[in-house]
Amino acid sequence: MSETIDITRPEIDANEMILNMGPQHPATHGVLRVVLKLDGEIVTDLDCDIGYLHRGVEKICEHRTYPMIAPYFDRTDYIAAASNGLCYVETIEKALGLEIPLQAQYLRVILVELTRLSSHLLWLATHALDIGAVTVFLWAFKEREEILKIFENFFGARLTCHAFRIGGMSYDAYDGFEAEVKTFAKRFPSSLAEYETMLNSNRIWLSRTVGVGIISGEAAIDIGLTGPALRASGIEWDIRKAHPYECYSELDFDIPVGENGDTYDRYLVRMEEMRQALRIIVQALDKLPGGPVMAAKVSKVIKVPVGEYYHSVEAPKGELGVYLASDGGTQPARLRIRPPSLLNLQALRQMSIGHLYADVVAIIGSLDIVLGEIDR
Amino acid sequence: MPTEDNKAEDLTTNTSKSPSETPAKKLPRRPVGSMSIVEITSEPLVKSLQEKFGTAILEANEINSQKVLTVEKNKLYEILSYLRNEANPNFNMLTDLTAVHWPERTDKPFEIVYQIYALNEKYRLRIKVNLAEEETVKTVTGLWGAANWLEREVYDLFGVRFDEHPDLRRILLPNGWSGHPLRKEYPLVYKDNEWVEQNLQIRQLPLDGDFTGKFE
Amino acid sequence: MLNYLALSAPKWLSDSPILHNRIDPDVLDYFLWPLTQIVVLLVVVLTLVAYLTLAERKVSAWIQARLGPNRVGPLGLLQPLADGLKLLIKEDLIPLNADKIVFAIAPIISLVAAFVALAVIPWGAAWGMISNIDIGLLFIFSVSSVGVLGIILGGWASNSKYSLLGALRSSAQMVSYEVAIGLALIGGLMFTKTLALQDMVLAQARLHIWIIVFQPLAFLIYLISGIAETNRAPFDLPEAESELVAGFHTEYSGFRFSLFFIAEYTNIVIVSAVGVTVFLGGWYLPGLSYIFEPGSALFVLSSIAVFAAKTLVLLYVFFWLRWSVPRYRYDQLMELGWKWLIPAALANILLTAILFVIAQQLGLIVSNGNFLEITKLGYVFLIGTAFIITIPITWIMLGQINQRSRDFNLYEAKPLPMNRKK
Repeated sequence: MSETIDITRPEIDANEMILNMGPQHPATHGVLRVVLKLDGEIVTDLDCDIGYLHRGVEKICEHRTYPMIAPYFDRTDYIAAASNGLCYVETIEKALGLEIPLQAQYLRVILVELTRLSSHLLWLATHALDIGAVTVFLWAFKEREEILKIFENFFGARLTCHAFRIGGMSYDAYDGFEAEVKTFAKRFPSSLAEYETMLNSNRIWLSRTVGVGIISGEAAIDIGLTGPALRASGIEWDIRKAHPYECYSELDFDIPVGENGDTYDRYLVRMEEMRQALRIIVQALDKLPGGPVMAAKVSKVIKVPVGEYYHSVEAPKGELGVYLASDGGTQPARLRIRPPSLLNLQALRQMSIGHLYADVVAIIGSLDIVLGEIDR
Repeated sequence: MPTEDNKAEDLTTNTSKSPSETPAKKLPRRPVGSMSIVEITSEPLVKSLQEKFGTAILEANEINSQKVLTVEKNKLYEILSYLRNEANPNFNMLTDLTAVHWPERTDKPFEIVYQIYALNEKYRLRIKVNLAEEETVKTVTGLWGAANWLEREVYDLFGVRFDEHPDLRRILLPNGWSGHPLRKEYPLVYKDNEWVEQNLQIRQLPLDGDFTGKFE
Repeated sequence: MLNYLALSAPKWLSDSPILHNRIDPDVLDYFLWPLTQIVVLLVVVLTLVAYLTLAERKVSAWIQARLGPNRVGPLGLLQPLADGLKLLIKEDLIPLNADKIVFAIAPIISLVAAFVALAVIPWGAAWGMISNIDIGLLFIFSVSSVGVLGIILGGWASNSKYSLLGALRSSAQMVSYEVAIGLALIGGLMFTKTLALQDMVLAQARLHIWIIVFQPLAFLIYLISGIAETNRAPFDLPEAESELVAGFHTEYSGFRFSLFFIAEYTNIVIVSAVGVTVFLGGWYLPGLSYIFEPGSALFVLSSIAVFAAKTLVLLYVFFWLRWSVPRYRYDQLMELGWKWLIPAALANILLTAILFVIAQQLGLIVSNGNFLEITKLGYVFLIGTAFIITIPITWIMLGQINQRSRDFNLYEAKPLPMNRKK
């Protein structure tokens, strides 16, 4: 009997069984261990055991200078590395009071939206794979390859691409960048339409996702859910619109909002977000102003003045925040990463109680968690 | 398109001469200022809080245009409950709950930081409270469900306990671990060797020498 | 016509100079010839099963925009050889507290049950089948029920929670869908008036029609139930990777696993073959008897080829479906079987019987001993009513039964309310 499921919970009945979806399991996205109390196939209780990927990133960051910390952020949410990098450099820039040139802002927005597309494609692939639609998995990865090729051409790395520097970007777009992104943008909507044909009206998909893992808007806000999962429960809130950063206030895009807060709505919201991300990319490509990509007054040695700052961005998974407490030196006194997946995963328990075991897999998939971020 | 302006400050050291040829230059120590701190006692929210709680609100500042309140420990729960339930911007979301360890403040080294957010009014607020070594605060899991795992993480990494928490146990580190890593006195390169040896059966290997035949 | 029923050794073989007057004709007819048939059939089916694994991988690859195995041999044609060899040389693991004897026997039971059913399937006319027993269809289903036993024993003997769960789910699923298969086939039986499989094909040949035209609903029910019976996607929850790792055969590796695997693919072949026999006309193709002389060796060989082609088409449908749709959850699977397919099959039988009697009263169908004779108007009547009466009435009835089921009232994607706030 696992020791992690019993501190204040009552003892199990004779009818109940404890099942361990262990850290090595094809459907828990990363090293997540979920201990379930089952009554037949119905889940009566659930506990998540995290920490298998804990690397002490926050502690390490207290011993690194500010520019050296940026690559660590890529490794937290390794699927959407550029968004994490963006959050960090923006925090430092705002704490220092730097002005970022427009060209850098537009490029950042394009790259972050491409990252959002790549992250959502991976979410679609793994979610569909868990529910059994294997073909969508391979098709989504085919599209994702194109995005990763663009990243490789730009940064030199596909996944953990230390994308942004404090003060802007380290180099401007390469020569074929606009053309490649435009080609991708032209092809992507038809692929998205293919995925929707496979899944949207598919009776089996609807049976597996409609009404599964419902969470109401208030409960979602209370448990700290953010990102597409919150929007699927009917709350219209997106940091890109609520507290605009970079040049989002100049771009025209919509925010999809769901109604019922079940797995199907989370799926629909993310599919629509992919479309909107493409829209942002196309607009931003047209609006690239040219010019410098690095702020003028960035010193060689970065020292953040004494004080504290909290900044958050809309990462593909939710609200990714960085809280920085500085004592005036070259290394932070405390760097805290607010991981969206941690708070999203907390909602798993109330979403799954009462559902069948097979639904837990679907719900974990629809929450879109990545363990690198949860465990740091 | 690369322009001259693009060659901004090179953030790496200048490598045109080998390090042994140029003596280390002593850079003048520029005084590092602090972020702009402005008192905000005239904000309506702060005013209503001060009316209700008086001296419990120790400081109310706007640090780099973010609103921060430092409060006293014994009124913390009432203040948070007031903000959650009755205050005018209704703070229905707990964005983050974390702690900072300031070992140089010998009387109250731990600072618990609550980032709360009013979703409908888009109003961010930070509440801080300073705690001594063994002091505890009441949990806010009753106010925001999000606090459950966040407080567990603070307990796990700092050792600060929360009263009446439904399930206070370690979350990121394994259950039998001793020590609280994010405290400043916990060394960077260190693990709880006793736990590791007992649970993973990994012995501390000798640092030198030839290991052939030594692995069982 | 009666030549087609002959199961003795063909005349050209028994009259040939090598064998004529050298072997007792009874020994030839009842021992040597069937033995040859059995050996040929086993070799062919085992090779077919091996290459079906390759075909599945290729089909799945093409659906998923990739190439599939193409390294081992030209176009990957030696891949099954490599796979088989790999499975044979693997370590034979038995879990710690497993029941050794039962663990060893379970895959053998599955395999034997699958192979025995091959004996009564009419692969071709005349000597293209091994034995034409009178209760052919019943025989096949009783034997494949024994295969369920193999699965239960395999899951139990593995001494693992996951395997047990998988075996129980699997067996419950197979038993439920066997009911549906049986009921679906009864609709076809009304037109063939026999259970012997070869005679069914002959009845369709005599009527110059494939029974699927008279019984489209029954064919659909049969196909879906057949997929569920053999634990194929979308009904493969018992072996779903993302939930139970591999279900009842989690703990099997190496040769024992390959036995389960062969049993599963042989079951697919049997389900397809029976579907082809009953609904798609078996080896009967309308123009075949004009091309080749009925009774000759070429005729029989071509009939075997026709049967093989039709079976391959149904097998392709099996593969195609696996990679196109997600997986059903277990309770939805059982609900589909009991609340949708079985009532539909029962309704189909009832309505077909009523229409049949009406047609008989109207003189459109005349029962002539063992055979039916249907007038042209009778054909039109039967085909028309199948589509206009049977299917709509069944659909309405299913709606009434399942009205309060959650899955019946699923909504489809509506455009999400966007917010255009600034």
